[in-house]
Amino acid sequence: MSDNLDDDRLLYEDDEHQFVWFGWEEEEGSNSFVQTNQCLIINGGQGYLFDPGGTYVFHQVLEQVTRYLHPRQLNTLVATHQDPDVCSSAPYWMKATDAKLLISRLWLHFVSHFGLDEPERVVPLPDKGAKLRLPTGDHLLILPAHFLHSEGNFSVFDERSGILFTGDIGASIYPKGGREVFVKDFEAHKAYMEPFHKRYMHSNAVCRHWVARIRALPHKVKMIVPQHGAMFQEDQVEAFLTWFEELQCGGDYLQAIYADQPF
Amino acid sequence: MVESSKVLYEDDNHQYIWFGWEDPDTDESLVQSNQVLVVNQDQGYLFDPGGAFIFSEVAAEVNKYLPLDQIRYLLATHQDPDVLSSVTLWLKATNARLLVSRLWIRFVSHFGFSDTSRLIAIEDRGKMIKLPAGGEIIMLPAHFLHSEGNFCFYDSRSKILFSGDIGAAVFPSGERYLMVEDWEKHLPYTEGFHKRYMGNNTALRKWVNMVRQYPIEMIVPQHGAIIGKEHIPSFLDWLENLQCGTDLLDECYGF
Repeated sequence: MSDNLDDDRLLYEDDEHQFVWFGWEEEEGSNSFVQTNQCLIINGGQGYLFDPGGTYVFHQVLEQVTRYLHPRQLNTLVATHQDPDVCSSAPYWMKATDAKLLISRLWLHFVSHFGLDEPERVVPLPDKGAKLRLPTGDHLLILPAHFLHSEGNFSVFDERSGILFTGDIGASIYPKGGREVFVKDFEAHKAYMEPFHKRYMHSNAVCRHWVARIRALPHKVKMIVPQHGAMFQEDQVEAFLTWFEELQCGGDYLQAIYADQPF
Repeated sequence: MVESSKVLYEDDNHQYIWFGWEDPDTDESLVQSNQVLVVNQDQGYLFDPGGAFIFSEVAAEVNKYLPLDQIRYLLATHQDPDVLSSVTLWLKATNARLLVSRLWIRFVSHFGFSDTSRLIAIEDRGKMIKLPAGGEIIMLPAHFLHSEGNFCFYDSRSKILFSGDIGAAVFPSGERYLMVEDWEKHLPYTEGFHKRYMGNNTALRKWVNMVRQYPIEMIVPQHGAIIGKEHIPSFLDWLENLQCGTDLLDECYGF
């Protein structure tokens, strides 16, 4: 048994603002589900949950969330993109809470296919992103991250904590038993990120675009939290940005991908 | 009014059936979607089964042509909810196995089922399944159009290509037709979608060059109208010259 890897972690806390990480994992020995992370921000008694997760993990995530606040206090669900591991639980969350679901305008008419009863609670995010004002006056910045991998995709920056939730960007997939909560050795960690990023991310031109945008943020990024795998802290943030902006990926290897050749 | 199913090809041992699901309330909350069933001898192959929301209607319609327990494979072009969030229900209702890109194998389980023995990964270069009464279904790579792990399905017997999101059209409220009649008139319903969702022109060219090597009678996309043989050259010419996706990166990033 791995030690408490699926426990919740408080990544940031002050009197009015908390940033909580939940890492859910399939039972030891199973290789059928990709592991996912969820994040909850609590500000002024209101909750903001991002990448609520798959149908299969709903009950477990709900239970963890209720340790911090009543589900009716959840104000907003943000889905970085449309994939099943990101938001196929959305119909359950919409029933259990009064929250709105924010998702790219590209997926507005697609996510209803999960089976949502109240499509009017789904709010389309424009391509340029959005700025959400929290009760304390701080902001959550929803930043464009299109084509990384999804065509309509966002990252979420919490100005107050300096934590950037990156969805699939920075995701890592560990061999059985090898999972970490925080990246320990960045150089060694690359091996767990590289295959995923090289195949799923669109191309180097897009990686560069996104990194430039992150570097131009008004506040320093103190931590990067992806939707799968381990988190990056302090100096690892810059190490990750540098690695990602140099990555050749996706369409850069189009010939090889069509031919199933190694790349 | 467009009917809800239609046989597009038929011979003694083979049928190619189109199903078009549409939101009866036309409140535009759900994108219209097409499904395809190939019946060869007594076995069925269902393409892009659709969203969880429309499962009952699609299953009832499919059942008019073939008992559900004779469906041998479900084939998904990619991972999106409108393509296969119904998969959990289909796997319960049938004995079929699901074919989907290797990229999404560990993601689709998140729709809510745990029996992964019925999931088969399609490798990046594609795959072919032989049909019992002759002919084959060829899964042709269509990566980055739009999904990173994406396929089109070519039925060699009917020569019909199911293209998933490629060639998809979104109609304005009140307008809808089964077959494209006038390509120029149809173009505005398809252009906006392709410019924003498709990866880039390089990926389109790669796909068009591959597709031109197959004799094709019809192209059936997952949304909107069927493109008949007479319009296929115009469609492919348009597609191979389209600037889209990351070709227009500054526009969609807002700077």
